Amino acid sequence: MKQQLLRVALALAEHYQQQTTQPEILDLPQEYWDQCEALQRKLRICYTQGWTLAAAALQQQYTSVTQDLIRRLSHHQNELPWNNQSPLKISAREIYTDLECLEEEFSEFEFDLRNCTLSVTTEPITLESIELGEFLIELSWGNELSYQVIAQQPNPARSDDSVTHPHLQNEDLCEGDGRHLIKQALEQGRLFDFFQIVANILRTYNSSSPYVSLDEWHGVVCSDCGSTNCADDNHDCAKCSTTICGHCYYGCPGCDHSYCNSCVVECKSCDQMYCAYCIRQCENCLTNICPSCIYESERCHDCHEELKEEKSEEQKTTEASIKV
Amino acid sequence: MRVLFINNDGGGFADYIDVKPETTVAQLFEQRSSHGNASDYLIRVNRQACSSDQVLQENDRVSFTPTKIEGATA
Repeated sequence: MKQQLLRVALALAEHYQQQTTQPEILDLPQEYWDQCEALQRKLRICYTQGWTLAAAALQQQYTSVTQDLIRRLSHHQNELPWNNQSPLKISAREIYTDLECLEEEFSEFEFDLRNCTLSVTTEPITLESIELGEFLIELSWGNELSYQVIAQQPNPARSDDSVTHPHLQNEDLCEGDGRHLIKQALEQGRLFDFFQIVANILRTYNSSSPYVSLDEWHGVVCSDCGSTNCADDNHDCAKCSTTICGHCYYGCPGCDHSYCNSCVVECKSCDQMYCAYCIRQCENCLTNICPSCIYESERCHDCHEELKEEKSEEQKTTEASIKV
Repeated sequence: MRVLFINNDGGGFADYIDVKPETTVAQLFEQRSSHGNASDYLIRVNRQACSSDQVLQENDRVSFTPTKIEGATA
């Protein structure tokens, strides 16, 4: 086992070595240097000829171009690959020690030299009483260092099979606060720290930013019929905010919002359900009437007809009295 | 005395630092972690769990890793 571990450590050290053998160096700011030289030549001529006005203008240009040159050179220096290198030396020995500790730290530790992978398995993880099972964290170093996290006994969210952990979708971990730490650990060859950080992210639940919240992991209970459904199939009542399933919700034809059974009212004329904001009342009999069924007189059909008859009677009486 | 200090918290830090001889793990935590409780961290010396009164030695590798690191959505 020790020999095999050593082989993995050597392979990983070689991978890191290959990544650092050809550092990319930016081009020198030759163009700005050339501009400075040209201005210097012109300035000398001006001084020799006594062209003071032209010299003054050139002096300003020269100051500006040299400042640009300094800025470019400073940028060039900042971007030198060896200036950004970690003070930590990546060696096969350090990697080997990391691998030994990983073997002790995690219940399962595997490697595959042919496929260039190294993996550990976490303990069974339970977050807020939801058992998510063990997770395999697999690091690959074939081309570039990458990793994936695979649920070993998947207990995915009811609404999305690809979410096996609140912060894991399609085997890609959303690292959140750990993003920078993981990047640093991998760049610096600190493999023990890398696996530890990923495992600690898996052991933590950030309720403010999950793919699927643990409250809704097994679905959401409809407050009207009591059934459990996927979060996507549910609606929130626009009035009382309770959650209702796709079978129980009412879409108000007046405002197109969703409502629960308690927050809608039936139109006495067409039997359609409307929300309390859209439903109207007959000003005569006070029955609930929807905007489509109410008449201009603000009455229901019966009261409107009654009013019409009354008016027509009144008109007849008036006409008769005029004739008399 | 020089030790390799790795802080796997916040922006991260990994570099050699100078500490006074006889510095303990608890003292280093106090110096280097302005906030937070030591019980919220996995503190290791040379990758091994350690006690807070462990005295650091030259070239030790000390790491602080929070037990809880919050993930997010993509």
